[in-house]
Amino acid sequence: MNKTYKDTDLREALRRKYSDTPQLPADFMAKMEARLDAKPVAKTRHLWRWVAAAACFLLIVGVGITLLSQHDQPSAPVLAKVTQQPKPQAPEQPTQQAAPEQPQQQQQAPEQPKQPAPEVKPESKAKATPLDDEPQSAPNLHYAAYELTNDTIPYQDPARVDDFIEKLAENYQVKQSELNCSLPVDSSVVSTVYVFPDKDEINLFGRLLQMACWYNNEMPGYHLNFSQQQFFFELKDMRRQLHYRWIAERINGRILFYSAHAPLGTKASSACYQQYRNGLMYQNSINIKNKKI
Amino acid sequence: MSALTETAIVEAVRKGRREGQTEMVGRYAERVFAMIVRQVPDVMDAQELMQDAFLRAFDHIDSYDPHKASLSTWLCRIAYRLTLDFLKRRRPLLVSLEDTKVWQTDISDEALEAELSTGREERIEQLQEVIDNLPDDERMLLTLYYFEDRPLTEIAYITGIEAKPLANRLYRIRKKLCSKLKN
Repeated sequence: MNKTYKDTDLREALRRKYSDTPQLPADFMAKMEARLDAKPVAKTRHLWRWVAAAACFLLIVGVGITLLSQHDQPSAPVLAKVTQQPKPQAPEQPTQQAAPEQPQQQQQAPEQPKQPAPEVKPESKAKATPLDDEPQSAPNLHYAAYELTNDTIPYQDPARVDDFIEKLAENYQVKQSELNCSLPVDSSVVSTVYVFPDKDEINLFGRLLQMACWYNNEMPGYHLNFSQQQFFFELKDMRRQLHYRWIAERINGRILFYSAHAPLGTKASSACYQQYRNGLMYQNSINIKNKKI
Repeated sequence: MSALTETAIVEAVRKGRREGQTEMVGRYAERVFAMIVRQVPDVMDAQELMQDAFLRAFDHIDSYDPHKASLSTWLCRIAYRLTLDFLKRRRPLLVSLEDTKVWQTDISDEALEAELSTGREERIEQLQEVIDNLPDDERMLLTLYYFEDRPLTEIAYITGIEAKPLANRLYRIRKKLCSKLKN
């Protein structure tokens, strides 16, 4: 490694090339001195950058803490409690029934101009909530908003799985079929099947697993089970109150992919899927037999 | 002032004393400038790069380890990086397909040495042209090794490449030169 190559041609070529390199300009020292003089300012600028960055960081932390403390303030549960108070008065009235009350409010509206218009302040709004004549729909809305911001883990939209599969199917020209898995027929229960070719190029199982790993395993209803033959994945979307389920299965050189989502608590039958699956297996076995013949 | 030892210069710079900085520039500027200006022909650019190199050296003097290299070599290491960055910004590095073909044939060190030591005028002129077309880092490596006569261990420190891979790299560049000469 320490051997020195003579390579005289190369040395001579380099010597000729670089023998006439310019000398260091005479005024270099003066220029360097000037830059050295200017340097303390630059150092101060550096310091200011750090100070500014630290201030920004503290500001962000401060805002974060403020927002968090607002979450933890007892005002939110108090509001929730207030909103729950009217419920016993009309426990069987769903929120949709709040609409008929609107005309009553409108009828009362002309009386209001007699009174002086109260100033709208966030504080007065909070104080106004315990009033008995508060419309029921407003507290419910408020309660819903409170629930939405109460995610214990960052929200991950389960519907992205369906979007992904849809795009994948589109790319590989795989058709999707709708299944009716609810009796009586319920439009909120959506079941779809795809039959993908089981090719290394598509690598559906690998992709599905990768996608499942993207989700936090502390998500509500997270359930992942897979093998070389089957893939099973479940999630619950607490924001939309939906239950998602995906099943993939290798069947005779194909992959049957089943995707379903339904409102939480809905009893969805898997009979339709089984039926479709059996149909596919039968169809395949016939095809295989034909080929053998 | 010129009696300051290298350790004293480093100590003075570390304390932010102007005389240490001036001494360091005065003592090593020529050598660092020569290294830069060989790769950056514009004198103004070379001067700016050298100023940057010294300012960076002053800022990072704490990272200088006298057991690893001399102060001059450490300055060259800083200048090398700044020069390469500057050249990359001005001329993005393009690896031609020809470059990758060269490695396929095998040739001994001795045969290479013979090929590059013919003493023929046309061969030397041809080499000058070929060197111009080399990527910046390869040209700098040749300059450090053949023109400045630095040992590989020192070049390894300047370039930040381990000595053994560096020796392999030098071998490949020589082989590439030979191949280009034959073409």
